[in-house]
Amino acid sequence: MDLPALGYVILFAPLLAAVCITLFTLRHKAVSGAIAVLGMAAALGANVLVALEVFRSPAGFVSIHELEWLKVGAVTIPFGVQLDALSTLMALVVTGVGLCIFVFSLGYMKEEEGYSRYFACLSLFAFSMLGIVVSTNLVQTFIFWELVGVSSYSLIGYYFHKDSAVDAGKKAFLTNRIGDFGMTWGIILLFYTLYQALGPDQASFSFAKLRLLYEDEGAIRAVMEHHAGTLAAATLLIFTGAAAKSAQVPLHVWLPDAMEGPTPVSALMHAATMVAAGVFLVSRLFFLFAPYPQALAVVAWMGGITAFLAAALAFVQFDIKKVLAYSTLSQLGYMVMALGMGSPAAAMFHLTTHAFFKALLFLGSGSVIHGCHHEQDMRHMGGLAKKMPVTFWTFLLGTGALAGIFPLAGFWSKDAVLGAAHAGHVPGAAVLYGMGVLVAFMTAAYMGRCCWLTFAGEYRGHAHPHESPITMTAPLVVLAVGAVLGGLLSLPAGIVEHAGWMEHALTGVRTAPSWFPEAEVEHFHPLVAGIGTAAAFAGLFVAWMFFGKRAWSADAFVARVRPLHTLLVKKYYFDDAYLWLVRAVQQRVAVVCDFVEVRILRWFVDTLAAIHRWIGGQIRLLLDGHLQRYVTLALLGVVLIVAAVLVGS
Amino acid sequence: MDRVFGEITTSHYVVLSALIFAVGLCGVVTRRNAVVILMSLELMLNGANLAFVAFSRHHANLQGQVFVFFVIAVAAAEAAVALAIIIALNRVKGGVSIDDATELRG
Repeated sequence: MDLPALGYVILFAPLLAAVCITLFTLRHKAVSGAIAVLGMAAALGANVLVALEVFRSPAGFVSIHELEWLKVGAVTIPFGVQLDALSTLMALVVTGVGLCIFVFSLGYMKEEEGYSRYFACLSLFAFSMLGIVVSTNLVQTFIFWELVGVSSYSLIGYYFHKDSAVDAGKKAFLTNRIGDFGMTWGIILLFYTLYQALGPDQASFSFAKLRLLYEDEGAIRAVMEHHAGTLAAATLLIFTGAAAKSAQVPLHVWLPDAMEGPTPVSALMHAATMVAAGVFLVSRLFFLFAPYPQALAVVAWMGGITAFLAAALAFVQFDIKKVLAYSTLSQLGYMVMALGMGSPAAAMFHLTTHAFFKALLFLGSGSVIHGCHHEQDMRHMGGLAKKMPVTFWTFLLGTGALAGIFPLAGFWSKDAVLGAAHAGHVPGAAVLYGMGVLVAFMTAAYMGRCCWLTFAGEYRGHAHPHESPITMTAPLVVLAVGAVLGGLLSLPAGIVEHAGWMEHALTGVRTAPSWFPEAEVEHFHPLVAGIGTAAAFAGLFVAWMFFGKRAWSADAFVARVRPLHTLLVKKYYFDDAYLWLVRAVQQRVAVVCDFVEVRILRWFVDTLAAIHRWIGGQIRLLLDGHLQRYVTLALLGVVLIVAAVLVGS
Repeated sequence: MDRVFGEITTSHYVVLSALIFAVGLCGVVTRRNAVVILMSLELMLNGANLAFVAFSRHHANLQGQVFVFFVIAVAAAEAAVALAIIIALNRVKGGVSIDDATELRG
């Protein structure tokens, strides 16, 4: 099959599964699960074929197939698939990690109500996410962007009888909407500016055409001359959409709450796919950001701050999933920081490895939660290493990868990110690099804390923990292999001369215009790697002193930094600030709107309706059921019309 | 005969057709017996048919005559349906006066 056909298979196989389940097999649990897994497996299979083709082609290879979808005036909006190194890599992450999570769900969700609904939603989500990945233009991306929002809403609120889950779903949706609102305006503004400056032939929503436009440095500089402000604003507005999806401060508040969904959902959306969409979008549109050092600085600082703030929050969580949630926030901050430093390749590399080990950690936590009979509090765990050996060892590998221990996947990608920060030219790059190292230390420390609390010592709960079934442990093992070997995707130059097609996969991700200086992250920097590793080991050591050896007392330490601890427990008061904003500002505006609507608009409409009702009531008297009266009336009408026509002519 | 009545032109046919149609219409509007209304309805259709044929001859075009066949076919079907309704009406109301059937009220 040719590439576009395979692209459409990748995109539509999960949708087909979702439709089949919704229409036909809602009552048959086993069939629904099998259909969903099959849909995902088909997508993965097609994806592997695409990858073999794309990664063998020379760098910069791109295959685009488009159908005309909308035509408004001179503007055509296509729908299609774009397969290049970036989208193929991202789709591989989504389908590969996704398939593991689908299989894991077979076991994890076994006793849940609405098993079929779960798999339908999961498949719909996979479809939406793949839609973003293979999209050829901004409008198509936006449509799937919103679809991801909707399907994640339905998955986070899966336990809809629980108020907290419903609230979390709403919060995720609304927070994302705020970002999407910015994104809508960003897309419109970008198109409008290019339309004004270059005319209808040049302006386009299509990534490829925009990219081509930006390749011409002279032309773009000329446009920027007159529209510098609007273009920069458009770029940053599009970034707000990405920031909301990738949960960057201050739009991060939805992600920790989204842990209300089933654990595999957390693994799928909040580790591998949905939150990665923002990073992916910025990588895809990196040429927009490249000419604006200020925009890149905003991106880098937003990422750095998110990485730091979220890592600190992870220390005060006792819910094992919340620890991972804040860890995800922090790692996303890393990726966004790498983007801001001008290195989408490092960001995509970290995204890929992170998808593997974070999905592994989430599924591991799911296995723990399943084994402990839905206990999520780490204070009621402990000693699980012996009772759940597979989960323990895979979780340990995930932790090692996340902490950045040599030679696990995280070591290489974290090194790439820190290398990008080290070489970056953004204002305050040195500070950001320092923060990055600090975050590496914190990451190792909170993950160490999580591991020791969960798996070491004696069991402190009241259930009877047991190892999970094979459908759950097998995906853990597969993902663990990814977490160990993921680094091979992009071994830095200086270590290896040619790493074959896998390295090529990521060098193809270069998305900046060719005139933009590529950040130097390819070269292995022993000092950067050494400092990063030292930070990771220091973090593990501190965690061991606190929670392994228990030489230092965590309680005593907390007592000494009480105000800081309160600040962290209250999550920097972000939620309270938003609540205040809603109560004090939005609620008052709503009252005024309510008055206008109920007292003025509705009065007007009601009066209009009453007049019509009265007229209707009068006419009704004529229609008493005698057919002959109806005929007579109709005849009268005909006579009147004929008379009118005759008089008129 | 032509001497007595003059030539029979298209106008004559059209006037006759209008008269037949008007008679049928009066029947439909004024009579109370459903069977008679049905008959009046048929009269209206035939009035229209006559006009079709007249114009068909006038324009030397067979389309009007073809149309008449369709009208006759439809009229037959309509008569079958209407008679069935009238029989049902007779069973339910015990008569065929349409003053009794006034359920179709606004």
